Formats: sequence, C-alpha cells, structure tokens
Amino acid sequence: MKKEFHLSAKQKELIALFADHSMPKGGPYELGARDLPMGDRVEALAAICADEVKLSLKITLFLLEWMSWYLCGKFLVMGLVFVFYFPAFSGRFTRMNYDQREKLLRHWRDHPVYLLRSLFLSLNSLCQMVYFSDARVLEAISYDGHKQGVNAFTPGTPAPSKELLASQGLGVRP
Amino acid sequence: MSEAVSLKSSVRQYKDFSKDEDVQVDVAVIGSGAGGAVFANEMAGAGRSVLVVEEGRPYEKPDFNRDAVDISMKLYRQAGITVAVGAPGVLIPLGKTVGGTTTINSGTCFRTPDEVVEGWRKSGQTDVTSAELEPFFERIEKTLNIHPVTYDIMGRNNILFKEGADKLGHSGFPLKRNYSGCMGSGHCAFGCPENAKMAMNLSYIPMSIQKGAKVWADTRATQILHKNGKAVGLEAVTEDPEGKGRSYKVRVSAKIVALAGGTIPSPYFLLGNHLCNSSGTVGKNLRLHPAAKVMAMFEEPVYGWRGVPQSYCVDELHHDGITLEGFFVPPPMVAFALPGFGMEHKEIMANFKHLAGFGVMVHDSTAGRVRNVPFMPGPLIQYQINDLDFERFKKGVAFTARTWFAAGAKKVFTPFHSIKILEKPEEADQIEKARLKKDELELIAFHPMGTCQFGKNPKKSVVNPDLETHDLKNFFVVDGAVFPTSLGVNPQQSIMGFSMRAAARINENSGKYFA
Repeated sequence: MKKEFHLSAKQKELIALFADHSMPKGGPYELGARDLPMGDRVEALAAICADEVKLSLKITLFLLEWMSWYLCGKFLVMGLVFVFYFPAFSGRFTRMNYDQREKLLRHWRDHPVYLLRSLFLSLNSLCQMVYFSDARVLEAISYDGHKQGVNAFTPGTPAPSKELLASQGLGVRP
Repeated sequence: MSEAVSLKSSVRQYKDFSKDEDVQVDVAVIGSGAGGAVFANEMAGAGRSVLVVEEGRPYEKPDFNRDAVDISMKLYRQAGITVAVGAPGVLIPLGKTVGGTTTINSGTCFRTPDEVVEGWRKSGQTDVTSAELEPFFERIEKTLNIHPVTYDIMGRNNILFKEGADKLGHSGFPLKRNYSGCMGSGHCAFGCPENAKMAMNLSYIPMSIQKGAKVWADTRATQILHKNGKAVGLEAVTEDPEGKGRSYKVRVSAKIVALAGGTIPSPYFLLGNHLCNSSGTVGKNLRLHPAAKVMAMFEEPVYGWRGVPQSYCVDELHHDGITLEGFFVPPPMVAFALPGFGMEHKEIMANFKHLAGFGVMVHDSTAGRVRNVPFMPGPLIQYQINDLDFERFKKGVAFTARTWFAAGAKKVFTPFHSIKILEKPEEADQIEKARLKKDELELIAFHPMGTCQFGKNPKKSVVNPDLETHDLKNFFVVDGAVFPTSLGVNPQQSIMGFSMRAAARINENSGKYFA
C-alpha cells in the first residue's frame, strides 16, 4: 500500500500566499493564483512525485514560514549567514503584510547560495505548473494547444506557418 | 500496424491479476522502451516465447488529452521531476509507460554518428563498424517510417530559427522523425494525440504482441534469478497503480533475460541486486546530453505550439560538441524557464503566442553517477557539469541568441540567472565574456546514457560489445546505458539499433542460448 501524501492547512496557506506573489491578480489579464485552489492542486501534483520532492516541498514551506526568524539572527549560526544577505524581517511569513512578503521572496529568488535559490525555484515551478495548466489561464494567454482537435492544420484554425512558408517559397510537401 | 493491436486490450494489467504467477518463457525482457520493445520483437520474430514486464501503464490515443500536467502525472516517472544532484541540478524527464520514453519524446531519430562508432573502435571498446550497423538502422527506418520533417508541419517556431540561421550562413537541416500522418499537433512530448509518432507503444510493442509476445504492465522487476553464473529468470511484483490493492508476485523462468529499464533505473536495479559489478563501473560514466532553453520574443505571433516542436537542427557547432534543436512545450512546462517574478513574469506569459524556443544540447564530457544509497527510496543521481561543457553552453547560448536576433527577435531569454534578458545581438557577447557561475545555468536533460557501458575489457565495462554482461551469462543490457560515451545526437535509434544487433547475435548463436 502506498502512503498517502497530504499537506496541512497551514502548508496550503503558505502555498497560496507564495503563489499570490508569483502569479498576482491583475495586470495584463485579471486571473491570479488567488482565484485558484493552489494548495490542493500542488498537493495533488506533489503526491505522485518522488519522496525527495515531497520532502523538499515540506522543507521549503517550513523555511518559507520561518525564514524571517533566521534572517533576524534568532538562530545564531544560520542567522549570521542569512542576516548578511537578507534585510531583517520579523515575524512569520503568514503574518507579514504583502510588501514584506514580496521583498522577502525577491531576496530569496536572487540568493547567492544555490541550494536556497533552488528551493525557491522548485516551489515556484510547482506553483507555475499548476497555475498555467488551468483552462482559464490558458485562455487568458491565448494558448489553444490543449483543445482537442485544434492544431496548425485543422480547417478553420489560423495556421500562420503555412502562409508564411508559401510567401517565402518554401513550399508545402505532400 | 497501430490499429491492428489495441494496447490496452492486449497488454495484461494489474486488474487482470488475481494471484501470484509462475511462468516459463524463452526470453524475459524488463522494460518496453526503445531497447526492450525492439529486443522483444526480434526474439518473438525468431519464434521464441517472450514476456515483457513493464513498470508503467499502457496508454492510448484517447488518454493523450493535451493536458501537459495530467499527462506528466500519468506517463512520466515521478511526474517528470527526476533530478540529478549538482550545482546546477539537472531535471531529467523519463517515461514510465508501455513504450517507455519513446512515448513521450520528440521523435527525433539519428543513426549513431560514424565518428562516435569510430571512437569506440579506436578505444578498443568494440569492433562494430557503421557498415555493420547499417542494415539494422535501415530496417528500423523502414519500420518506423523515419524521414525528415516536411516544411508544412514544421511550425513557425522552427522556421523562424531556420531563417535566422540562413541569414548568418549557418548550416542546418530538417530533423528525421519516426512518424506517419503527422498533423503538427505539437504534443509529441505528451503522447501523440494523432497516433502519428511511431513510438514503441504503436510499433514494436504491438508487432511483438502480434508475433506472440506477452506484455505485462504494472509489473516491476525486483530480482534476477541466476544459477552457476547464468541468468535463469526474474522475479517481479505486479502493483496496483492506485496504491490500494495487494501486490502479486511474479516468477519468470527464462533462458535469456534482457534488462532495458533505461540508463537511470537499470544501474539502480543492478546495484540494488549486487549484480554484474565486478568492474565497479555500474552506475558510473553517466552522460546526459544536458540541454538549455533559449527563448525569444517576437513582434509577430509565432504560435510556437503549432507544428512539430522539434523539427529543425542547426549543426554549425556540431564539431564543438554543441547541437541546436527546436523545442516548444505547453505553458506549464516552460513558464519556469522565463525570467521575472510576479507581474514581470505575467507580462511575458501574456505574450505567450509571441514566444519561440530553441534548445542547446551539449555532447557532454562530464561523467556523473547513479547510486543506490541505503534507505533512499530511489536512485541518487549525481552530475556536476565540468568546465569544458559549461564553456560549451556559454558558446551555444550566445550563438543561439544571435540567431534569434537575426531572425527578428525583439528580446532573447537566456538560461543564465544573472543575464536573463538580452535586448540586442551585441549583448550576446557578454555571455561568452562574463565570469558566470555554473549554478546560474538552468539545465534539463533528455538522453541519459552510459551507466552500464559496453567494452571488451571486463575490468572496465559491464557488458561485452554484444551487450551480454561480463559477469552473468545469458543476461543482457539493451538500453541507452550501454553506450560508453554520449552520442552527440538523440539516442533512440541507436538504442534500437544496438538492441536489434544484440538480438541478431543471439539468434545467430541460438544453440548456445536455447539448447
């Protein structure tokens, strides 16, 4: 029997907050990550990933919640390292305001320590995979490749490559 | 061919098991990808009883629903998130389904380059020649209808890059692929929704079933049975893909056992079973063909997802160990490769139809390793890119960026963290000149090879040039793990060719193996 994988409500909240910064509402199109059940969907995706990925996700979420405490130097050894690279924040991620979270995440993204940066990238990638697989988001970015039967060569579908090829004399082979 | 055999109705699955099984066959094959499927077909064609055990599930056209994430969860090992540890880490998407990675690859086919075969000969690893391999490659090409991508299905993404390369005088050509009736759906890497890509699930597996071979899906090999230095079968477990039901034990007695699990799973399996490692080389010499994405933004709509994503190759830098091939994947799979965070990223994604992509693939000299570490649930893959290969990436990315600008790109997005966006061609120079750190590079790899390399010397290799293990008679490794170096080109046809040659050698010496 396989062991089932679950995220806690707190972990899902962290994902939702993180995703809200990664894919914010508004801008070129309205839909943001906060409009989707990000926590549940990331949980479903992570459930079939390798155990290392699941563990890494949980560590990353733990780090995300408590990172600001490290940054304040509350843990001596780690704190000395982190305080050097991050501005000081206080409080848990879930209790920060939007601007504080944004600032923290941007520092984390560009952190010179590869391991830390890669944890950020992993979490961001998981959230982006989930967000950009939603049909409404795909429609908002004018992507139609997910629709059955639609491709470059289905009648009625714009096929710019064919027209451009013809105009360039490249020809169309049978 | 593809319509003749329904995969789901002819492949035995977990639901078809109700008790432990004990069977006897001539040939047992582990894995149904490029190596295993061809080997099974050749053996079945010679009148042998064959059983293929495959860890993954069978999927068919209706399952290929163009939802990239859903497909990744079903057809890819660990949802496509297999990672080699290093700085940078390398993402290695691997197939886990009937047909193996051929079901979810781009379909690009190359014969093993002459210079690579010659290199193996010169280093004394094999006596095989390109001429000897030719009839095998010809048969595969005929069976899988391997031919160049025609311009009408190439798609604007690849055409644009071709235009840029032509302007700069760089050589290139349409790639050869295994396809028939392609409509340019653009979903090769997520199961062809038109049944046009002649992957193993639509070709050699149905062919071998028609010849009498049996294929058991949801069945994971656990052990090789051997006696007096000779393989005599295998043990496996059939597991509920939902993870709910009980598992069934499968015991297969066979005269020949072929391992075709793939370059990562095969050495992991051997190391876990303490088999065939008298040379100490199992799992070592991992080659990946690491690749990096170079995306570009155009004024005109490109609709990069329409047409065959990997249809054109620029080989101008081939002799420097760098090959450029087209790529394009759906938004969930490419969003993370684009720069920016939050609103900047959203602005780029909002212009998704204006994006184009080409890949830089390196014929790597780096050697990584696959380990079986106690208490770790899967293989530990280590791969730390070396200086030579890193310099190749800098050169290849700068070259690709210049080509995109020549094609009319307004912006180019590089895979380097600190130089993410280029806005004019001259800025590509800074990639080659800058002191970049290796861990700034985002890498992905699709062609693992080399972890059970062939060779004449049993002290330095795992299998002999005919792919039989040095340590255990009647036990063969017939997947990409056997190549002693990377190939510099997509390996699926080479894997098929060497697997077919190994089967031919067995059939030539059938008295030795089947007496």
